[in-house]
Amino acid sequence: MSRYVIEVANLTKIYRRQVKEAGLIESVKSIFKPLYEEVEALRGVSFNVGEGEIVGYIGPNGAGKTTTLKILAGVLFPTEGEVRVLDEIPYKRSKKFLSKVSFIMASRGFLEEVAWDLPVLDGFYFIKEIYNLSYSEYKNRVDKLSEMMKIEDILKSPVRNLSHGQRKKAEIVANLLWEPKLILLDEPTLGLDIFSQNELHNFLKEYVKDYKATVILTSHNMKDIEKCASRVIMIDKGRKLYDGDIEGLKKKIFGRKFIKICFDEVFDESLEKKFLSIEGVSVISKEENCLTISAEESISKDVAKEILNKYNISDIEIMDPTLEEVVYRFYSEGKEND
Amino acid sequence: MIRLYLEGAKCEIKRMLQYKANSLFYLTVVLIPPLALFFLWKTILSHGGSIGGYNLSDMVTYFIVTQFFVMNTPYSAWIEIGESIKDGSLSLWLTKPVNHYLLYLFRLIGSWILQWIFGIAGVIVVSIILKDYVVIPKEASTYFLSILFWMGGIVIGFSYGYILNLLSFWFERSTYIIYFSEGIVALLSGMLIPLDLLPAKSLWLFLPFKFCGYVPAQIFLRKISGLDIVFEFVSMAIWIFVLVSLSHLVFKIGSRRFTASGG
Repeated sequence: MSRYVIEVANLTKIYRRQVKEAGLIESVKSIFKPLYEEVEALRGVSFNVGEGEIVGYIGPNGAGKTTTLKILAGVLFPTEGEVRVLDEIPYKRSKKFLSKVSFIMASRGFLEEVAWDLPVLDGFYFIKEIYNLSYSEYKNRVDKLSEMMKIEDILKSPVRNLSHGQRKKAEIVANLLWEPKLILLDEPTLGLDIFSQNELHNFLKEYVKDYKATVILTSHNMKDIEKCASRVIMIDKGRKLYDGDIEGLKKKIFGRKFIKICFDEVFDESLEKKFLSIEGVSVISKEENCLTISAEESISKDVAKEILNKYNISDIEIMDPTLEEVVYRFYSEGKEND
Repeated sequence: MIRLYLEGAKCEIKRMLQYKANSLFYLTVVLIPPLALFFLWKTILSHGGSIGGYNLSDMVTYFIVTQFFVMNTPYSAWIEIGESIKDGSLSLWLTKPVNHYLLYLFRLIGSWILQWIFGIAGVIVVSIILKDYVVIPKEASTYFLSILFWMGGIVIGFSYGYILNLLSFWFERSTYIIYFSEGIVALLSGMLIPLDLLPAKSLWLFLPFKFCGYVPAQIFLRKISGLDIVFEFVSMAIWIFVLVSLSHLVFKIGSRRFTASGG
């Protein structure tokens, strides 16, 4: 038995898709001579994930995140490379494997498919039968997870009458009723308000702690990753670019601190120029009487001391950049280098 | 394990109960075609006599039975399977430990049960209106055997539609292939005319579609009996085996091509 829940080695996925120029003549031509292009969604991606880890799997649109999840869930066949999940080959879709994995998709939901006009509980009951749960197991899990996710009051409402957020939460509960060992979550907070996002973050951490589950989480919302994940894997154009903890990423990619300085009065441009003349310092943003600069981590303390000594300031704050800022910078620098 | 598929059917029954009024209008679908065919055949056989061994009573009964059987075989819902391949929602089922074929068979049966109930009500109404022309068998075994063959016909009709829908793994759009195939079933099931009145009847009587309407109706009219029923039963069992096996094989090969488009 492997010590990893997920083992991925040199994973490659190539799609073939039809292409054609715009226009009626081109459409007619494509009937007789269709043209195809190959799209490399994943190119030699490798990583391992251990039990109980929550891994943030991030990248821009079209990076290959959802394709990876679909391969891990057994939906897609890899073109090349090896994948083992819970000691099984996912695309063989053995009952044993499928009974231990949950794939929660961004835009499609099981409850919407089977219970759109029916109460949420009817959808949950269908899950009970699919995974052959005893009634007491089913009842206990529905009670516990509904309480954790705070959806007790919507269980008897038809799915179509629920708000997007309520539906999403019910969907997540439905997909955890069989206590999966691996949860693949694709954009879980898409369209959720900040309260629901927070509830989901807390729920996820609590669930993993209680059930020792492993989670792979893709999201464009970096708060999801910062609040839930202990490790992050970054991909772009089908290639893995980073695999490690979030702090390491911030140091490796950014290596800077933000210093927000608020002055007693509105500052003039000469002051801004003075800061810019310090090596390793750049101005990030300006407000009426506050200035945010970024300084290389090695000199940030000295810069802060100098500011305190030289200027009349009302407040000063040294901050780490957010993951969102790090990721944005990382990918935009990558684009410039292309 | 069967409980899982029964639950799938139950969900569909509960869903259809939300659309009671819609199902009620289905009565008109069951009522009107047999009445129209009655007037057609009444004109054709206005001077008495018979065609190919069918007198007016046989024809009227034949059409009431085949209309009910064929129109109540869940063909039109086939298209959902093809659409789920195209829009990627098939992923929802590929990640669950279920048999996709059985799941859809039971879900479709569930979605049609309400229509069957209204369909039976429609048959009773038509039979009362045309009571002087309808042959009503007295033996329970006739009803039992007709229903048994109709159920076999449902499995055959569903399997055929299932395989055609799986063409969506290969083709961008298979809607018209499915519509064309529905037309084929309507003709070759004997819904439009008894198969033994068609030219080259031995070919049509070899194909499996006869079990969707023609054979159950012939049993109802007691035009097939004794050893012939046993022969038809064995033939139906072989066709079911072939089509169900083919359904699973095509799904296995096709799902390798699945691209799961969309999130």
